[in-house]
Amino acid sequence: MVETPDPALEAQISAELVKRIGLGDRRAEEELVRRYQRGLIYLVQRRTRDPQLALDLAQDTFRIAIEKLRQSPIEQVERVGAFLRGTALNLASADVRKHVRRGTTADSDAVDAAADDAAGPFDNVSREQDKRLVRKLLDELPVQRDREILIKTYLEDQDKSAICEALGVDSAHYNRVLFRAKERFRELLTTAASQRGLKLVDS
Amino acid sequence: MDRQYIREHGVIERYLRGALTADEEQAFEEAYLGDPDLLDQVQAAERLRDGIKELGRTGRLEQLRAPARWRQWLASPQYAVAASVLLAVSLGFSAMLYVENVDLRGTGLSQTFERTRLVRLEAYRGNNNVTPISAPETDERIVFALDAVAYDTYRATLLRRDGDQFERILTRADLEADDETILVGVPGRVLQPGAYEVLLEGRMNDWPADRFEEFTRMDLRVLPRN
Repeated sequence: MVETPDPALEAQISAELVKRIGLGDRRAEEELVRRYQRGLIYLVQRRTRDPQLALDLAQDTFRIAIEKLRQSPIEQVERVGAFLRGTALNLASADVRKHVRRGTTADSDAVDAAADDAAGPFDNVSREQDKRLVRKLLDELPVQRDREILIKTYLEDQDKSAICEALGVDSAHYNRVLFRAKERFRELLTTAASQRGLKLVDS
Repeated sequence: MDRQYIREHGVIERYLRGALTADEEQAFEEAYLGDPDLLDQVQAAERLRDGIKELGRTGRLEQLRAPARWRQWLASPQYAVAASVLLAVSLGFSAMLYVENVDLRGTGLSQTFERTRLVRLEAYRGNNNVTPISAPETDERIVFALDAVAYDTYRATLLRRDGDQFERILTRADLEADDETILVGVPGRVLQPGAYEVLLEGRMNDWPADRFEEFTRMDLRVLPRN
């Protein structure tokens, strides 16, 4: 089980990063990029459906953010994530993006290196493997009703309350099945990723 | 937005299908931006969702959705009959084991003992040699040490004698000699004051199967405790 993130700690880290960047600390810039880049790229990619564009926009976002933070702190220093998100979403508009790409000049080694360090833990697992793992997961579920919960949730995009009513299960059971299935699938993905990593190293 | 809220409100699934409110979406995206583990969860769920949709598109999901052959067989009348027969047999067998277990408990085989007393029994072969012992406590175990001869395995039977009548108290089979001695443990509570006899039989491995040969008897007298 994963620990619940501490919002107070997150706010403290955010405020600390903002302060240090304002003082010219280049390491803080690196930390900012390292901490938020994966999530930011994913967020933008969901909006644009274009991985390369998402990478470009994320880099632009960090350039703007660092330039801004070097000059003056943001209003809510404890919410640098919100600041990055807002900036990225603004950039996701094509017109704004063109404008920014012309006007952004901040140089940052951290931003330049961002693309090298943004890989997720499952990135080396192919989509074909995904399908095999999904089949394995569904096959492992001993109760047909639990398989139906997953299928209705993800294939048919049904609402939780509708699924619970259709299958005669309560909300707690639904949450439990879904949570365990996702944790198991994540475990399968992690194993597949590590095995694939080993094969790549071997070859 | 904390983990509990995310789980209980199906936030990840609703996010993936674009069904969050604007406020929820903003809060959730801010939450996973600085939380790699939450981001892992989102990405894993997205791949699960995409994988299920892909299987659905190619028609392969129906195979998984339908009961597997073995599950269909489990639901068949043939299985019901076979399972009923098996259940009846196993119930009978369980009952038999239960009865045997009760018997064993009756002889105290499963008892734990506070004390153990070693008693050497001598074969009487023509002599009227009776070994006397005082009646053991109920939590005491008596271990009889008997001289072995050249058999591979032994069987010892404790008999209570009343005149010419013998009552079998217990039998221990598959005993093996260690340093030319056979040890036979007996729970103390079965040795009430009275006359007993220990019958010892032996068997050679290369003899015809299951053929025990009686080779000695020993008299034992259990005396009342003072």
